[in-house]
Amino acid sequence: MAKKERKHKAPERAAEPGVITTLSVPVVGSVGKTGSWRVFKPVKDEARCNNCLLCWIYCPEACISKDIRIDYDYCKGCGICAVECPRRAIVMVKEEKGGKSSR
Amino acid sequence: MSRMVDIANHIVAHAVKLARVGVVSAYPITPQTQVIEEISRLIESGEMDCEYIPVESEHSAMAALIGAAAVGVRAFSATSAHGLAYMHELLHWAAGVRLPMVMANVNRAMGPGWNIWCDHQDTVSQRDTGWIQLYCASHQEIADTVIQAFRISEDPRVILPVMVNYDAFVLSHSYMQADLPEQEEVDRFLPPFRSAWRLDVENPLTHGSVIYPGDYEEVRLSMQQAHDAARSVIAEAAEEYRGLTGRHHGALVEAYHIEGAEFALVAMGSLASECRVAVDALREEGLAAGLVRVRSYRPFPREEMVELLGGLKGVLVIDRDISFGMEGALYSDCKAALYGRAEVPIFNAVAGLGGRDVPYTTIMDEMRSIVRGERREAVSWPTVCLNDHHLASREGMSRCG
Amino acid sequence: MVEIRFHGLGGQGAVTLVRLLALAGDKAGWYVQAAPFFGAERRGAPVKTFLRFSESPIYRVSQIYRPDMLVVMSDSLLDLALSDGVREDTVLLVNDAMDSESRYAGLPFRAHLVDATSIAMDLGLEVEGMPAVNIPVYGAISYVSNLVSLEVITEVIRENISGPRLEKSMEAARRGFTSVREVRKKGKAVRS
Repeated sequence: MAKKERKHKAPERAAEPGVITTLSVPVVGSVGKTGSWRVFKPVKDEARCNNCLLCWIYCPEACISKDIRIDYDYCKGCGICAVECPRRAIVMVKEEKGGKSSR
Repeated sequence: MSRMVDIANHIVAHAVKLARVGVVSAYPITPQTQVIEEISRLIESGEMDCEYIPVESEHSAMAALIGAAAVGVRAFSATSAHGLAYMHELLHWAAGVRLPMVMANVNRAMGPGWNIWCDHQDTVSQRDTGWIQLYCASHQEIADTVIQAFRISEDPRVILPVMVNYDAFVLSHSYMQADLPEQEEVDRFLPPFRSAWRLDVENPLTHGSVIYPGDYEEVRLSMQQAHDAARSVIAEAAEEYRGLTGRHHGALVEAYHIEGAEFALVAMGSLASECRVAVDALREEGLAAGLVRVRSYRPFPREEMVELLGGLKGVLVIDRDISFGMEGALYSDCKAALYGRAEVPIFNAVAGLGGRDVPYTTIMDEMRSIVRGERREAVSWPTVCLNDHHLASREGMSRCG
Repeated sequence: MVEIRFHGLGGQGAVTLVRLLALAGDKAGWYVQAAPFFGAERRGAPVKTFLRFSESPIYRVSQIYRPDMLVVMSDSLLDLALSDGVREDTVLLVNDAMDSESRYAGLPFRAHLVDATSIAMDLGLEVEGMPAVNIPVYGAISYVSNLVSLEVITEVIRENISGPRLEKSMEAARRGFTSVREVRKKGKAVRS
C-alpha cells in the first residue's frame, strides 16, 4: 500500500458513483522508494561484466535495465543478481547507516 | 496458577494442553499458525500427551477431528477465515452427527481483497452450521473460554461442537498477561471425556446415513433444542469456573455499566473491549452509557437483550461483518430478539472490516449523534474513507471498458 | 496508562523489542499490552508496534495516535513516525548519531538520541547482516521512560537470550541506557 493520506474523509464519499474493487493498476513505486529498505547494495564491476543479461532476467523488481544499470531508488538489495551473475560481476556491499540511502 | 505473558495464540495452546486433548488436527493459516506451532512444540517436547494429525487441508483437518471425536477422543482444531470456509461442509457434519469438539477460530476477513486482518465475516458466514459460537475480548478470556468450551460441548444436554473466536492480530498476535489454572483445577472442572455415542467395532453403529423427509426435521429440531439448552449450560460453566478461579467473563453476554444506563453499545470480540473504553469516556462526559458484550452469538442471548436493552433511549450495535443485501448480522439478531417485546430505538454501525482500526473516539462520536437525536440512517459505516487506491481501481476498470 | 509507539525497519527487531518490554513491564508490576502491526513482513520495510503499560487492566485495543513516547529506530523513519500522530508533550527517542542533534533541536518535543546502530555494530550484535538495534534501544527506553529499571530489563535479557549473544546483549542494553542524550533546544546534545 502506498504511503498516502489515509485520514478518514466524510463517509458520504463512499457513495460517489462508481464501483470500487480490488483491482490495482501497475505503477512505478506504489510503495514509495523501496531502495530505502536495503541493507546490502549490489555494485557492478564494469571490468568483469560481459552483458549476459542474467541479472536483468532474474531481478524480481525489474530494477536492472537492459544496459545493466541498477535503479537504486527501488532496488531492495535482495542479492539475487549477485548470486545469479556467472562472472561475479555484481557484489553486495553493506549500506552505510542501516541501508537507508539510495546513494 | 501460572502466569503467561504471551500472544493469545500461544495461550490457547496451553489451555488446550490443560484440557487434556487427545487429538489435534489442523492446517496452518495466518493468523492462527502459532496456535498449532505451540501445540506441536508441546507434543514434541513431551509436555503434552496428544496425537497431532498433520493434514493437507482444513477440510481434512475437520474430517480427522470428526473421526477422532467419533471414536470417543477429546479433539481440538484451530483455523481462520479461508480455512474455516474450506471446512464449511464438514462443520455441518460435525454438528449434525452431534460430536463434541472445540475449535479456535482467529477471526480474519475473507478475501478478496486478500486481507489477513480482523473482522467477523468468516464466522458470521458459518453462523447456521449448528456450531456454538463464543467470542472473546481478552487473552484471559480466551484461555478460560477454551477450557469452558469443552465442558459446554460435552455436556449431555448439548453435545454440539463449539467454536471459540478471537480477533486476528489485535488479540492473536499481541502480548498480554493471562493466568492459567493448575492442572488439578482443570481436571476437577473438566472430567475425562465420555462421549454420548462412539464408533466401536464391538458395538457396530452407523451415523450420518441417508434419512428420508419423514425423519429429517426431528433431527434438526433436536439440534435447535440443544442450542436452547446450551444457554444455561454456558452460564453454569462460567459460574462454576468462577468458583474455581475467581474469574468470570459473563455468561451469554457480559454487561458493563448497564445498570441505570440510558444508551447502550452492543458488540462482540475486541471491538467490545474498545467499546468499554468508550463507555468510560462517555460516562465522564455525564452520559449514562452502557455496554452489552455478546459472548455467545449462537445460541443468541435473546432474553438478555430484552432484559438489558428494553426501555433504553438508544442502542448502537457495532458489527464487524456485513450480511450483504441487509445490514450487520448482529444488528439483525438484536432487532429480532427485541421484536414485539421491547420498543428501543436501535441503530447499526458496520466498522472495522478487514482490520480497519476503530478507536474508542469513533465509537463515542457515533453514540453522541444518537444521543443528540441527530442520527437518521439505521446503518452507518463510520470508518469508511475513500482514498487514491479506490479511485485507481475505478480507473483500472475504466481502462477495460 | 502509558502508550508508546515504535517505528522501525523490518529486521531491526521491533517486535522482539516490544515483547521484551512487555515481559519487563510484567515483572515491574504493570498490566502490559504489546501489539505489533503485522503486514507483509519484509526486511527493510517500515514496521510499527505499540506498547501499553497501565496500573489497571488494559481494555484499549486500537492503535496509538497520541503516544506518550515515540520511539524511532531508524532516523530515516522520523517524518513517517511524526505523521502518524503525536501530542504536544510526546517524548521522542531516536536512534541516530550523537552529532545529528541539530535535526531535532527545532522539533517541539523533548527529543532524546541513542546511537543504537553504533552500539550494536561495535558489539557485533547483528541478525543476518542487520545491526540488532533493538537491544540498545531497550536500554535507552528504560533510561528515558523510567517505566522499567535496567535491572529488570537485564533480568529479562538473561531469561530470553542465550549463548554468545547473552553477554553482548546485556552490554548493549547497558550502553543504550547510559548513552542517551537529550537534545538541547539550542543545538548541543547533553547528558540529560
